[in-house]
Amino acid sequence: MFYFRYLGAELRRRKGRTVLTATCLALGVGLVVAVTALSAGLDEAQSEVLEPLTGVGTEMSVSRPMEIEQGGAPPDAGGGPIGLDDLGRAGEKFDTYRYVSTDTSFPAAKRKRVAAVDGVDATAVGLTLSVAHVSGVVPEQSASASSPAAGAPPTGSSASGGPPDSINFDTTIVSGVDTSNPDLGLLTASQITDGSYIAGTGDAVVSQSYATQEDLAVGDTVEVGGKDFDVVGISSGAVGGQPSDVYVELGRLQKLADLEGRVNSVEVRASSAGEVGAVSGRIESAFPGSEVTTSSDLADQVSGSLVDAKNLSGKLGTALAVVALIGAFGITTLVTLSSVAKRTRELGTLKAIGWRQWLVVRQVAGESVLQGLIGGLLGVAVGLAAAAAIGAAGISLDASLAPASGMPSPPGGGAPPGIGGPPGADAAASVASTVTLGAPVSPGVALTAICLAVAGGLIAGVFGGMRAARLRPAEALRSLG
Amino acid sequence: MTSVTSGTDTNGKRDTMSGNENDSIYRLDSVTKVYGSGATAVTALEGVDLGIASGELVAIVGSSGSGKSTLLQLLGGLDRPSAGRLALGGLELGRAGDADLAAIRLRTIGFVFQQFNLIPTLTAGENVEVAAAPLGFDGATLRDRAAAMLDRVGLAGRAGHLPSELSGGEQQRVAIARALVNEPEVLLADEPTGNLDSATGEQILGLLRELWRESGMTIVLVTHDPAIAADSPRVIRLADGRIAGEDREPLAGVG
Repeated sequence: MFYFRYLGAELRRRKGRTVLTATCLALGVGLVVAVTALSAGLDEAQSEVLEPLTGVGTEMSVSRPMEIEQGGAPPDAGGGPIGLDDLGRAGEKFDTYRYVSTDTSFPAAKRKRVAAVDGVDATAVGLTLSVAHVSGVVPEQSASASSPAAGAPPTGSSASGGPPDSINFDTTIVSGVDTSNPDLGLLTASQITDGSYIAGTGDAVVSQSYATQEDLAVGDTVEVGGKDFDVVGISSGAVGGQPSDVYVELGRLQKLADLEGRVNSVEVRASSAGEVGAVSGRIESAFPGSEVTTSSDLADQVSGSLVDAKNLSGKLGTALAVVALIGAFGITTLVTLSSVAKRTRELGTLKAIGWRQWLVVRQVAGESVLQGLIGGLLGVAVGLAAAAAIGAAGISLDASLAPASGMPSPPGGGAPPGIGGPPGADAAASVASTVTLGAPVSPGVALTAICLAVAGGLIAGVFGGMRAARLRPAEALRSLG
Repeated sequence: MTSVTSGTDTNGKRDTMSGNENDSIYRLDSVTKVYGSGATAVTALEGVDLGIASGELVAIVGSSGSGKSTLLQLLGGLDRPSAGRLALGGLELGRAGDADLAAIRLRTIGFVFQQFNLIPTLTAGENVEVAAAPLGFDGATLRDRAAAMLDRVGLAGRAGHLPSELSGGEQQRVAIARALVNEPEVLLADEPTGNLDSATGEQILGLLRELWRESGMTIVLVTHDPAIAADSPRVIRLADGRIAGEDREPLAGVG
C-alpha cells in the first residue's frame, strides 16, 4: 500500500529525526522497564524472605496478646514471677523450668470459633513458649528483695548468699506443633531442610540457627523441660518463619508446661488470598481479644537494605521513570512539531494536490506512532539489558524480620520475670536473611513498555497532526510573491 | 471522475468575460480578495471579471504583488474570494466546503509549482503516485499509471530516482507527471520555469504546450516572463489586483 511505503520512506530517509525520537522514547521506556524489573526483583526478594510463613499458605496467625501494665507482672505469664523463696533455702541447689508467654493461652477448642469464620479455609493450633531453665544455688537475700517486680533483675549487692553467677539461666523458644496437618501450622513439612517432620511424641525438629548454635544434627537429642527429644529434622531458619528454636508435638509441650488442652495461636489459611484483610477483621470480631497477624503485617516488619532498596526503587525509581517518560514524550512531540514546521511546503503540497485533511493528519501521526514502535522495541532491549546487568551484578540485600506477635518476647529486656537478664535472651527476637537481587522482565511489562512508547508517539502525532491540519493548502505556493 | 466542463470546443468570439457561458470552465464576477482586516487589510485582487473557456491556454502576467498568485490560488480552490463569485464549471468555489475543494483539487485540477514541490523522501515514481493514491487504486495500478505518466513526460527509467538525484528540468517533469496523473481538466502552473535555466525552461514550456494540444485541457500559467507570455494564445495582464489588459490570438490554441 502506498501510504505504508510513504511512512517507511519518511522514517528511512529522515534518519536523524527517526533516530532522535526513537532513542528518546527508548531511553524513557527502557528506564521504565528497568525500574519495573527492579521493583519485581525486590518484590521477589521480599517474597523469598517471607516465604517460610506465606509460602505454605498460612496467611494469618491468630493470637491473644496479654494486657501488660507498666511495671507489673503479666497476669498469665506462665507461672508468675520466680521468687527466690520458692527455690528453697539459701545455699540449697535448685533446678527448675518455667514456661513463659506474652500471649494468653486459650482452650484449643476455640479454634472452632475461628474455623467458623466466613472465608477461613483451614486452621491449625499451636503453642509457643519460652522455656526458661534456671538452676544453681539459692542465694541469701534481704526481705526487701524477696519478691522483686517482674522483669526487674536483682542487683548483685542485694543478693549476699552467693555471687550472681551462681544462678544458671538459659532459655529456649519451643513450639508445640499440631502435627495432624503438616501443610499448615507453626511448622510445616515444606520447612524441613534435613531429616523428617515430627512423627511421634518423642521427636523434635530444631531450627537451622539453633542447630548451629547448639551444634545439633539429626540423630542427636535435645532437652526440653528436662525431657530428652530425638532430633529428627532441621527446619529452614529463614526470616519470616516463626523463630522457634525447637518444635515438638503439641500434646507433649502442653503436658510439660502443665497447659493441657490449651494453645496460644491459631494459624489460618484464607479461602482466597484477596480476602485476607476482610477475614482478618472478621476473626478479630468473632474472637474477642485476639490479634491477627497477616503476611502483609510481616512485610511491614521487614527491615534492612532490602527495605531501603524497595523504598528507593518505589519512590526515586518511579519518579525517575516518570520524569524520563515525560521528557521522552516531550522531546518526541517537539521533534514532531518541528518536523511539521519544516515540512510546511510538503504537507501544503499534499493538500494542494487533493489530499483530504485526515489523510495528511494520518500521515504525520502514523510516522510518529511508527517511531514510537521502534522506540518501544529499542526500549525493551535497553530495559532487558539493564535488567540483565542488575542480575549479573549479583547484588546482595539483607533483611531482618521482627518477631511476629505471639512470640515470647517479654518486656524488660526479654528476661522472664523475677530473674536477672540472661545473656542471649534476645537471640530469637529477630532473624536475618540475605537475598540476591534479580530483575525479571515479564512479557506483560515488555508489552506495556512498547504500548507506552507507541502512546508517546501517538501523543506527538496528535499534536503534529493538529498543526498539520491547520496548514492551509495555499502554503504550498507561499514562496511566490 | 468529477466533470465540471460541458465540452472542450472553443468559441471564436471571446473577450475577458467569455462570450459563451456554456464554454467557460471558469467564470469570475467581481472577485475580490482581501487579506487581513481593518487598518492592516491588504487588497490582493479587486473586482476581477474573467472568463476562461474550456481548452484555453492562458498566461497571467504581472509584476510581483500584482495579484497573479492570489488569482491562481483562487482558481485552484486553495483559497476563497472575499467577495464576488468564482465558479469552476457549475460549482461555486467560494461556497464549497473544504472536502469538496479537496475533491476538486484531486480530480479536476493539476498543479505545477515553481519550486517543483516534490516530496524529497519519495522517488520520482512515488511522487507521481502520491497524487493518485487518494483515488484508491491498488499498488500495481498505481505504479503502472505513474510509470506511464513519467514515460509521457520523457522520464521513463527514472522512476526509482529521488528528487535530489534529478536535475531541475527532470524534477519539473516529475511535477508535471504528478499534476496530470489523474487526468485533470485544468492545469494550473505557477511560474513553471522560474527555477530553471532558459533552455530547460523552454523545454518545459514545449512539453506543456504539447500536452495541451494533445489533451485539450485548460492550462492557466502564471509568469512574469514576457517571452513566455508572448508565446501564449491568450495573455491576461494584472496590475495592482486588477486586470490591466488582455492580448489574444484569435482561434489560437486547441488544435
